Amino acid sequence: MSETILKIENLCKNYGNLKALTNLNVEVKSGTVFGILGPNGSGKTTTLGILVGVLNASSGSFSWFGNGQEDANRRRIGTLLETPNFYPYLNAVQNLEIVAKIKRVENVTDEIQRVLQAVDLYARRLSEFRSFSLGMKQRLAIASALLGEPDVLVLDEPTNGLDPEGIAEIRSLIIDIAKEGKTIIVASHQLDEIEKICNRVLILKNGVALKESALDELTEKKRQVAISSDDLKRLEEVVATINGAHIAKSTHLELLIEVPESYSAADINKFCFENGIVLNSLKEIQKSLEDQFLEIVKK
Amino acid sequence: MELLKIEFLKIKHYTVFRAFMIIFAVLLPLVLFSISLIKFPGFPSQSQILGFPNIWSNLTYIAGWVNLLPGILVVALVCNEISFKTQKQNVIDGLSRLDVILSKFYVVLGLSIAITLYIFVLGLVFGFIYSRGGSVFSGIDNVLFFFIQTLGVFSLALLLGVIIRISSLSILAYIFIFFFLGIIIEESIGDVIAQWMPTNMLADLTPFPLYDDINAMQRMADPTMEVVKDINPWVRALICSIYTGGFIVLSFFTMKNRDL
Repeated sequence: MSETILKIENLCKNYGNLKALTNLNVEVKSGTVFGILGPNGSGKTTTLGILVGVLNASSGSFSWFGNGQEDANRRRIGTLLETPNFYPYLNAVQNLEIVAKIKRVENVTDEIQRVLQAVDLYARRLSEFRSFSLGMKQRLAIASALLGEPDVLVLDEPTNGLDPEGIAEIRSLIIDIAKEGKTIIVASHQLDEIEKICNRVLILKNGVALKESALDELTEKKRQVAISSDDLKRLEEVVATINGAHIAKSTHLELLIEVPESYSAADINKFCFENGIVLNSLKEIQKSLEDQFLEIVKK
Repeated sequence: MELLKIEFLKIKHYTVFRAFMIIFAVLLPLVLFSISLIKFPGFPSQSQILGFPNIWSNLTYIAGWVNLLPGILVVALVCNEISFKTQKQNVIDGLSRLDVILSKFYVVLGLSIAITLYIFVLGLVFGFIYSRGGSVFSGIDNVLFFFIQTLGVFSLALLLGVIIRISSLSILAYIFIFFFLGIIIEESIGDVIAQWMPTNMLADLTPFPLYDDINAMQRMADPTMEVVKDINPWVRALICSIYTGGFIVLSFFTMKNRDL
């Protein structure tokens, strides 16, 4: 049984009459890469802001590591929230020294070297923060979050401002950290990012949690298969006899059917053939997170 | 101590900080040196102004005005943390909101101690150069009052930065309070009540050195004249310390209830 790292109970945040977050209940277990997905203004950053102490919740509560909302909890959490925030007149090392002091990191020099190398910024360690490009600033923020090997990483749009190569590197870095068993909470509006990194997903819209489940559950539950035959009418009749299957969409060229996970493409082909149908084409379509997300959000 | 070390890391490479402190450090002896060069008709001699024991009251009065500069620096340091969003990041990284205010208060305290020590050394140097007799430590309590005033004024600057948050507006508000608020309060509600107000009370900790002499001359001319500023300086120092505590507590509660 994994340890609960974060427990959120009935968390609400109001800005005047605007409800930015409504009764959020979430439990994040140790080792989970937990994605918070939602369109702009859905409450992702508000949720993270409350969890890392910069926003005051209107009601409800949360607890890190079973210790409630103690300030010391945050030293065990590496956070990148919205934009990278550093002293512009200090260089990368000097900025990280401040973070290390706050987090009470030991072996500061070695640690700073490690994290700067991890984000490929070591060569620019003595450059002032104000001279950095947006991507470099983002890398430094990630380095800062990694400082002191935190138990949990909280990352809000971690690949923001990075070029495609940088995005791939940071995603790979996050996946490597996740492999070490670290708990990671990532908020993003980029579906592919969440799909590549996370194993559990919370979908937010207008401050309300619409769905929370394992990523596998969300993407694999409804496997779709596109099939076609010379006799589409007969094909429809045969499909109707497959246990648990139904036709999601029918065109004059093909049928889009949803089948239980237990059915492979070969099973469907065999079933149709045994019932006198020769399929002209069979294409397995795994429903993407994007499809699921849009379906859930548009409801 | 850790909080102070963190603050030191922030300010030791901050050029504006160094520039302001150098200007402050150079300006004050320059003013004193200028006084030593100019003979004011009808005013006391240089040795009376810059020698012991008057150097303490004169120097702390002048330094009280020059404190405008480090006060502006305090406002800038607080507002920078807000505009750079580093205050928010410091909280994210593990500081409590109380730590954030305390760390800035420690800067204010450290700055006040450093400036007071500088004033003390400067007083000794000019005092020994220009004295013709006179006790070195007579009137030294002015240095302590100056310290309490500096701490109070800088704490007020901290509060303004926390409340207003925008550098330019906070500095304008600080300058307005520094130069004009006391006068406006005096004109509005009269000296008797105004002397108890925080800004007036802080200013009166290092009063104009000739205030008592002028008062005495005026009373000789008009024996019925009311003596207004008659609060014991030690009582004034105590009340100013309480006001300073109030500024810090108010800064904390402003910060505590606010989204960063």
